[in-house]
Amino acid sequence: MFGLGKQERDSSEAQATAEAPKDQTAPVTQAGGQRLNLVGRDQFARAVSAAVRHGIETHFRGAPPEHIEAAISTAKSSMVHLLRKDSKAVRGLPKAAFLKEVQESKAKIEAEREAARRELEAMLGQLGSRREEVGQMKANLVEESRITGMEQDYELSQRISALFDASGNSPELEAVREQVTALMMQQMHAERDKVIEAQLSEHRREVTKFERRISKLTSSLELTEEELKKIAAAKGIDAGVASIYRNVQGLNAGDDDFETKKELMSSIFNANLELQKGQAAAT
Amino acid sequence: MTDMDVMESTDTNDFEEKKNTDKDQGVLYLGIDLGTSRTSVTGSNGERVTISSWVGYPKDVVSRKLLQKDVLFGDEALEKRLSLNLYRPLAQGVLKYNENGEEDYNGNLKAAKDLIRQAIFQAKPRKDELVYAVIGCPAEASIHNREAILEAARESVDSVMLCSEPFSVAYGLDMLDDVLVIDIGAGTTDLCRMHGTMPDESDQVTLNFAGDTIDNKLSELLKERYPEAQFTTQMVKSIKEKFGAVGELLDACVVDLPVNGKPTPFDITNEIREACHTIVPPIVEGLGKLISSFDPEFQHKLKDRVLLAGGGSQIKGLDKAITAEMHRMLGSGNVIRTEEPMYGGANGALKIAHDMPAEYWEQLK
Repeated sequence: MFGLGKQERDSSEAQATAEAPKDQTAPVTQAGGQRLNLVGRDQFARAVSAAVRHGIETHFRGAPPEHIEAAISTAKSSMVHLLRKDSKAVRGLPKAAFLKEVQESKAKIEAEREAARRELEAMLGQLGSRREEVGQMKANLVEESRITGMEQDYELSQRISALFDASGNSPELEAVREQVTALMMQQMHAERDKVIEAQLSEHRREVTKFERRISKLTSSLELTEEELKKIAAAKGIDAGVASIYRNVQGLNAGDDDFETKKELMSSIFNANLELQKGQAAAT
Repeated sequence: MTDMDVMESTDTNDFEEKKNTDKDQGVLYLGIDLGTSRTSVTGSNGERVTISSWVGYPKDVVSRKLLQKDVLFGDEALEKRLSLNLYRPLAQGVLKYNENGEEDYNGNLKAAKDLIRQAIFQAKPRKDELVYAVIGCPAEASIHNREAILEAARESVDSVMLCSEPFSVAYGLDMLDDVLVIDIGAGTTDLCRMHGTMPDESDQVTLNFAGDTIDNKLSELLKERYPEAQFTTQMVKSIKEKFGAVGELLDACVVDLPVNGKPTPFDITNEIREACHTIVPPIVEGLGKLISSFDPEFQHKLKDRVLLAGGGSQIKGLDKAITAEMHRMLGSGNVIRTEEPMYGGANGALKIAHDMPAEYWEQLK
């Protein structure tokens, strides 16, 4: 669709602003134009054809029809070329809003990254101290077990000796006493290790959980970094390409097959309306 | 009255009107040809794009991390298919679906939605514009499938309509009267008789002989005649797209196919010709049905204006082959090839979108 300000209508600039957004039309109205009238491209093309034909027939009476047609064709293609060339100026103009949006989303992602990083640092600190705690606890337990173990070992060996002493002394019994003492000690040490392990495992589970959370947080941070990279790379992102139409078009009343096309549009619409109604009823 | 006054025929102050719309800048019309093999879109912003209709989702967390994407499209999806759950959502031009919900309907519906979203994204719409789209779908698509396509599209546009693919091709070329359209896609070939009114069911025929039929036939012939050659359906499709031709004036077609891992040249000229020709007789048979059920007085007009469109129409010599078959089976015929086979449907759909009155779009929102 192309528009012409009444006071600008003879200038090619006015033709080129046909599809300009509001801000671009301002000079037209400021220059005294009361209103911006819009016509369809097809209609514009037909008007150019009619104007060229009129001009030639008025000034070059008797010109051969093929010359007239050639002139019309050249005028039309030149018009389309010029309009396309100029219409590029319209594309992508209000980019500022889009870039603002990109900036906002970047700031949001950066804030998320910062929060994730802080959380990760805190967790890494906690993990370190947890690991230290576990190490210390293990050392304490081992030491504790060693001290109490020595007492228990001594007491056990004393009891075993007392039992064997009561049964009399013989070299055979002495050998059996040593074997029994060794077996009992071995069993008791194994049980003691099990107790230490059980006490440590709860803390180890906690450390593993920490490690898992840290790995998850790290991968989430990686993704955030990736998003930020994408946004950084998107500095040159196109805000989209503007349509050549400012408003809804519809059939041109001057179209050769206007009535047929009107009927066809109506049929397509009715079929789609029926489809939509059917869908609504089904839901 | 100056010459330029001729142009000022519309008195509506459009900038005032614009305030009444829920978006305040512009209307982007999109024409979409949603196909089994390719999806094409053209926009009133001058953008036009075709993507291959493959949609892939990472199979697991590892693939997701490797690919760095939640969804891949087109050739990229095909290339990374080993790490993806791959969908080609439109079998025979319509969503893979049956009444029992088989064929992973939900997966295909999601893939179709993503494909439409991607096609629209590729058309570079601006956020501040209304997006009105017309989607071409096969002439004989079931109500169920039409509803599914609508559902898929509605998420990405402000208002959407469907129309029959061959009709949109004819409308785009302003050939509304006494013309037969052949639209050859990957999944289906649509035939449509245009006679100045909206074509109804009796004016349209959908055949399951299309690009995929040729691929299957070519695979079959190659397996039969060169059992030692190794190839995939995708390789066969690429060969067809590069060398596809029918008729006698065909250049020799020699391709390298691996044999025990070693690329080996094969002359497949005859196989290509035979495979590509498989769609000709059923198409002419379909045309015959549409012609014979038409007013006898105007049948010759239909035969003289047969429009060949769609991706499959790029097969060299196909227009001549169909013309020759029409002469043999129907006495006469004249097939005209469209200038833009890949965008014929999308261009027509765009034109329909443009010509659709505002109140119709509003009602379908």
